[in-house]
Amino acid sequence: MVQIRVVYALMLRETKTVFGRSRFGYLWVVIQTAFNVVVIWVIREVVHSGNIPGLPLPVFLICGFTVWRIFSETVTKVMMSVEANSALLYFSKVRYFDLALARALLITATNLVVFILLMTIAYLLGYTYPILSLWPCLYSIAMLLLLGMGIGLICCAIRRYTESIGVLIAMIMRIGVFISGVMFSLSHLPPSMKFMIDWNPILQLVEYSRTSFSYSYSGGEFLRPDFVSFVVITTLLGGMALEVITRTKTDKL
Amino acid sequence: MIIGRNIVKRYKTHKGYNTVLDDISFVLEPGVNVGFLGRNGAGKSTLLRMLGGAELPTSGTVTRVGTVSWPIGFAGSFQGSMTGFENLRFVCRVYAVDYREVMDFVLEFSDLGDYLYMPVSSYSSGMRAKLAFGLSMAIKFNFYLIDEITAVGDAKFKYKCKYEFSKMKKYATLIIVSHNPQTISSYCDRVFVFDKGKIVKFDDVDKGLELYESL
Repeated sequence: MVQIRVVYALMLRETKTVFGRSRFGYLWVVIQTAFNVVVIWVIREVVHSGNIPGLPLPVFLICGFTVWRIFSETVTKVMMSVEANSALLYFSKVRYFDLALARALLITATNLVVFILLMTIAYLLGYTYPILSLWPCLYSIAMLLLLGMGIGLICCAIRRYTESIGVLIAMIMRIGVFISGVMFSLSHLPPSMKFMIDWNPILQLVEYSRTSFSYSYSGGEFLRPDFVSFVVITTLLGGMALEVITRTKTDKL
Repeated sequence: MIIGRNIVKRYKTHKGYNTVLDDISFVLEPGVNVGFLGRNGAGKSTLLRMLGGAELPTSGTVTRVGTVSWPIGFAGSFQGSMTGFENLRFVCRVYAVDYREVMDFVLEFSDLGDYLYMPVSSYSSGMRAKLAFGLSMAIKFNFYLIDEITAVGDAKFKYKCKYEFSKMKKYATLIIVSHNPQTISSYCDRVFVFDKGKIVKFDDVDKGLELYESL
């Protein structure tokens, strides 16, 4: 119970620091995600890149971007969580892991709000979609949140030795957004490239999340639940262990 | 009670490793106020941070039985864009105490008035210190860690601090880092003198002060 309270306090604090004192601070997160969606949507309309079978394009993009952002933002924010908030460790109730968890949960909550908002706007604009079962969407979000935390913690540990990991992660994320089915469905890949789907748990989860909102979207068939669970659990446990082992390296003169 | 076992603390420098604390062990008992004496860089504040859990030893363990404060007067964890009140509420949430009681105490102790509702970044260093001191004292701990209490504030503020410390002595244990012999002798029952990575413990405060002055 103590840790739940601490994490809640940290989340509230983070809200104030991340979104600043501006009244529109939170609105910017919505605008940023919406901007990404709209830009890609317009580009795809202009180049006539084809419809997505079973899903309106904006819904396809809103799902992809929100789920992807939960993952990518968790990685980058968790990576910096201890360093950015090390002064909070002076409060003996605050533990290292709370800092990471608070950030990851806040990112997820924020992106969920943005998701609901954008999906509502899309619906009001006439892009209708059914809500079949929220399980695929929530499962994907939960798995990507945990995976993001695991990778973030691994990067947090590596950063104690070299700060270049931050630059590397930024580069990887830029590539990741292209190969993870966020903007384009990879279901039409030639069989020789199928390994890109089979070995990319992020892509599998991004695609699976969309099946919550379509009767006929085929993205769910790529999901390998055993593989995803294995990657998520290994990464998370590995990240937690590495973070603990490298803690004494944080001290600087 | 706080028990330190075989604590080693090394910092990496460009010339290799600097061992600040070299295999020290101690027991801090409830009701026995201890003063840490030593030259600059001898490891006093480092040990204080380790007692509070903000820093970890390179090797060895610190075991805490009971609650331990953060270093009193430490304002580094205040978020500048948040108001004094918001910072105060955050700390109250973390420690599960009623913020209204804490706020009353802090307002009386710090004389901040309406400034409590201004962002901390707009505070002078004196105001920050007053908020930090007030907040540290308003929350009850078994052990209070105090780093250089006389470093900041005007005469009235220092007087208030002394008064609060005297009250604290009745229900809690004080661990004090100071270069001021007067502070140490008026609050402490024992002293640890830090030198060359080791500590020498004295039950007689005056003897400890003698050694400190000869360093």
